[in-house]
Amino acid sequence: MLNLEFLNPLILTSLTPLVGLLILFVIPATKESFCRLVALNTACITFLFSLILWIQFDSHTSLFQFSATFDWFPSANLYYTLGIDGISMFFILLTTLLTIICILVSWSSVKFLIKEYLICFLLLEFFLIQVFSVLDLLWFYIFFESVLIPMFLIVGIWGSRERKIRAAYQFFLYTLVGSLLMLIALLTIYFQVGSTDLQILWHYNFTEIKQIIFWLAFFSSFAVKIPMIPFHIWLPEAHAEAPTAGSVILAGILLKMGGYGFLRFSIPLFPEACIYFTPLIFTLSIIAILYASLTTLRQVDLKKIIAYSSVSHMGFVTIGIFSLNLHGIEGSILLMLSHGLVSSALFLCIGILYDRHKTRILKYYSGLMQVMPLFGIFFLFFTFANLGFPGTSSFIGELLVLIGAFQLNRILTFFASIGMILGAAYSIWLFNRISFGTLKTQYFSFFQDISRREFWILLPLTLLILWMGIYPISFLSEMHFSVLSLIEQLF
Amino acid sequence: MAGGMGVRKNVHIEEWAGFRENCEHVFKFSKANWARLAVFGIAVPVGLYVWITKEMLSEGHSVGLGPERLGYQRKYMGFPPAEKKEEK
Repeated sequence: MLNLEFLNPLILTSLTPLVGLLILFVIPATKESFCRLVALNTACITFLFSLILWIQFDSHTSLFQFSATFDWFPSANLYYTLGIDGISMFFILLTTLLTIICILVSWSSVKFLIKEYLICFLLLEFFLIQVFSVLDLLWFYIFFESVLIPMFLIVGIWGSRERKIRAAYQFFLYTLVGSLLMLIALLTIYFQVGSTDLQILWHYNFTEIKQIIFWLAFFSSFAVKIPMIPFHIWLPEAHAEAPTAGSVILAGILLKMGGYGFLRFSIPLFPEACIYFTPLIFTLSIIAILYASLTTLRQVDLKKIIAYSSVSHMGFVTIGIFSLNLHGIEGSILLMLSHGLVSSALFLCIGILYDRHKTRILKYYSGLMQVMPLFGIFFLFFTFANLGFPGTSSFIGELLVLIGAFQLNRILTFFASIGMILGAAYSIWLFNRISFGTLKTQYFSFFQDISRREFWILLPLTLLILWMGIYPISFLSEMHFSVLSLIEQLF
Repeated sequence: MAGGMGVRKNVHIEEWAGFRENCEHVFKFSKANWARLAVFGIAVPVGLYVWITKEMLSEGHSVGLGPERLGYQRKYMGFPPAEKKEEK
């Protein structure tokens, strides 16, 4: 009898990048245009499948949906289990959307090893979808680490400068060292419980001391990935050296893996430890918000400015997650999604400038509004979205996080609010430096506004940011029951 | 994307940007830097930690206390509550 399990939209979403990748393998590398078309079509089909996930998703339950289990090593009680809930679904959608944008943005800017470049992106997409859909700790770890390989290659091979090798190694080593402790914790959990299935682990009560040890081990991995100060050093380097598409995927999705890890594993598995470490997380988050915001004001590289602002925004996310209430957690998820769109759009804007003028040093740019008005309008909108202007997605996310934090700690809310002001300061400063002032014709002879392709890349991000900012309920309602269940596990 | 519009590089700007980017090459552990490190690396974080913890305790939130001690009951994410395996 025909096995219809493969018609599950989650499995189709998972497998489509792999199929595209296999097709790319057999296409000769000389047929560059065909390779691009195959990769783009694969990414579009994957996105359509992920949209089906959203359409068919039942928001009135906290149960995992589109679940499927495959035998992997049954004698050792190890299975490959997939499933999504309201928390993970939007991360999958973000992954599939940003992969299309990454392929489009590299259409003509990547000049060598195009087939290999596209293979890396499809592989990355496959790993990321798995990270957000597997319901097994061991498989999560495997895919969480596997993401490093294509990303390492993207930064190391297609990066822009000599420093790319150093940045790639820094990125690789930081995340790998952090994750090794998680592996040790994972093995200990496996030998204690006898399974790595998430749904079995949720029913298991670890002693308080073990929760604290395991939580710290998981934290070492997730904190590097988010990243929290002082584990953030790899991020500005990796962002600055990666190609535009690499920066988009790094800021848009890879940083969210840490936040997702906290939500999916740290909170439900180690609830007592989460409460125990809440003040520590809050302190690190406030430090991240304030120090990263102040550091942003001192940067000279356009990409590093956005990278440090990402560290600051991720501080808001961790505050929201560890406020352990509905507003805080929903706000942090919305903020992660919003940041995935806004920071990606800002990196795209900087990529547009870099592709034309081959420099990212802030000092060269001034008065671009006079010669690139359309670019200026988009950049203004994304800058406002970055500072959390009402009507944009970041505003809703930050507002919910602050409401969640206020219920727990007023001092925390006060410092986080200062971070919002600093965010406005560096965002407006950046926009002002680039767009207004005298045009520096001594450095540039020609200017060109955004092309039609660039316009169609930026437009969907603009509309999504507006949608999330004006009518957030269409996103919040989908995750509401899943977040409520997560909180119920704590208390 | 469009090409042929490269920047005419300015030596001074490049040097300045290089200097700002590679600050680790010129960083020295001077007395002033040690003092900055002590203030921003230790005093501010520790102060914030103490302040946040005190505020949470004064508001009656559990800090460092397991919710079990506060009489919580664990619920399950939609799954039938199976028998709990208590750790020995």
